[in-house]
Amino acid sequence: MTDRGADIEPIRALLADDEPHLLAYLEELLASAWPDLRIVGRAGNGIEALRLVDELAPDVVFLDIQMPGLNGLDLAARLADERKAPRVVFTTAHDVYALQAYEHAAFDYLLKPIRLERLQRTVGRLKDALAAPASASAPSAEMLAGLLRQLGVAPAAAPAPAPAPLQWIRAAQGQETRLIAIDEVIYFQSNDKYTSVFVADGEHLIRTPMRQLREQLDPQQFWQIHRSVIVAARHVAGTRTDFRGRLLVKLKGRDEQLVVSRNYADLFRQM
Amino acid sequence: MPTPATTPSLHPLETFAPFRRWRPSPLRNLVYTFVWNGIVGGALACAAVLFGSRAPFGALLGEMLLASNIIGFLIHAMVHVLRRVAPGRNGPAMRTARLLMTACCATVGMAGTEALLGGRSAFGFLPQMELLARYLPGAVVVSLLMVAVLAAGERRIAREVEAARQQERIAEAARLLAEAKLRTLQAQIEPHFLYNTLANVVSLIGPEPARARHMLERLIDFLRASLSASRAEHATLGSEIDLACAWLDLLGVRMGARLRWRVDVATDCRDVVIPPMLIQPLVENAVMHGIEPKVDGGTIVVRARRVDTGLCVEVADDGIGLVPAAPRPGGGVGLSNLRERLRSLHGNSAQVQLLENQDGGVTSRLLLPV
Repeated sequence: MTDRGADIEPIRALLADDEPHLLAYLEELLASAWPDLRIVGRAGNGIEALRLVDELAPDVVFLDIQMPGLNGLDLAARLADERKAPRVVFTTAHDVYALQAYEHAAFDYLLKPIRLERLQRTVGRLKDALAAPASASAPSAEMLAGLLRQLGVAPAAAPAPAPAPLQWIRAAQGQETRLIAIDEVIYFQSNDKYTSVFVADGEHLIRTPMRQLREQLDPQQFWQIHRSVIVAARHVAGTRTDFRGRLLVKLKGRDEQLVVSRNYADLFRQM
Repeated sequence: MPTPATTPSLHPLETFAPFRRWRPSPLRNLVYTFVWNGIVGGALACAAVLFGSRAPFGALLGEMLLASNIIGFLIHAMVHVLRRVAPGRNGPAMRTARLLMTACCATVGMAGTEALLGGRSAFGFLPQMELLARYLPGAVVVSLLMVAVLAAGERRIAREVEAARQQERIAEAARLLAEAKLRTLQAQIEPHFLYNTLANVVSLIGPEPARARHMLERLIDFLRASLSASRAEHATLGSEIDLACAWLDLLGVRMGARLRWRVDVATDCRDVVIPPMLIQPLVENAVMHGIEPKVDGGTIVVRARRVDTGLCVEVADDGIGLVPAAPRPGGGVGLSNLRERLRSLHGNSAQVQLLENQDGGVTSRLLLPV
């Protein structure tokens, strides 16, 4: 009611999808569902989309969720706390969780292949929402933030998370660099110069020292049991005490047993 | 009557569990016979005392031990000879022969003992019928005892073999089940892939009908191949590569210029028989984790060649490389599933390795025995 001028100005939209045919098809559908809509930009990836939103300040953004660079959910999270956040309509092929989330908060959520009738409904709701007083549109950003929390996406303002735990280990092997997923590792054992990484089908040598490894590993999944040994918790079969009174860790499906030094024996006290 | 494929060299002493600990060998059998003779001799001496013999126990024991050793080693030698003459045979004829010869050994042994104790020639006794008649009941008892002990041992071994076979069958069934489950899991078509592909087909029907048709045809190829792969236990490298090509073709249309790919497979490899759905997850990983997250896209190269140990299949990409990426729907579990399948199919003779390429990107390498 306060700003009648908005009704005369055409609504401006940005489309983002990494699959070119789908982008073209969405544009074609919008042309018939909402002839007055002005499509001001098209983005093939999340980063481009973010740039175009900042540059063009569209009223509506149609966002694919899976995009290179920055995915639709992360992108929406960044837009959510901007002062004049656009309405976000997600488009995706299949996502049960997002569907559930949409029922609580998202402005709209379209399943691909997109149907014209379904898009017409969205367009109708969008027109109503955009024509409503500006104050009514304010909660939209909050709703979106709620949706994103539900999807497990941290709001953009959240502090940077702790450095991600180590996921891959690079081990030189002749001319090649082998990549070992952290889940494959059974235990690490340090020698004078190298650290041995034991996996189901062998042993690899890396140069990362024990101390550095310990800092990069998730302490819930990897336990240091000796100054020179870190073992993956899920490969531990149990413990036993040998005739000299030392505590030994038994491993699943392997013969060797690892000595637990006195300083780390507390780890197993409750087991 | 089913008998174990390999007749075990069963010693009567193995009736007692502690003596099953040592593996059979000629020396062990000799020692066992000596121990067994001692036990039988002792038992006979005790029995003689119980049945009212008035001889002093020491003398009685010595006499019985001498007799049991002579008889025992005679039987030992007889069994040894029989095994040499007719190795591996354990039929009714053999059993009868063994029974009769055990009786003979017992008779000869008893006669020998009496002769030794009496200080006379053992052979002088043998022709005398009345003396033989005196030994006969003892000989029969000894034979029956031996037969009973050996038969019990054979039954025990047959039971153990059967139990081991049962265990093996159970383990094999479990392995097959796990493999079928993993294979089905890997042949599962990801909903994202299916709906996105269909969305592309829908979007192309109007502007580019020929392309839409091509896409549908390739989708059908892919669906047919993955459905049959989830049921079959074997495929050829050629058919697996074709499956991967159909998939790459579809992704190529969807991603436009962002995805380029080529296949480089030696012609002599195409007929190699391999388990289905081993290569497809590698190709999907390369696109999903390597190319798709990269804004500029990239190239996938699928290579296969014969190596000393069998077959080497590589899927290389020049994509984004390994980043601690957010897990994607349907991704992530692919490689560990593959590893588990390879372990259950080939033990340690098959491997999947991940390598970092010099120019960025990742190569996954599958090594299969042929």
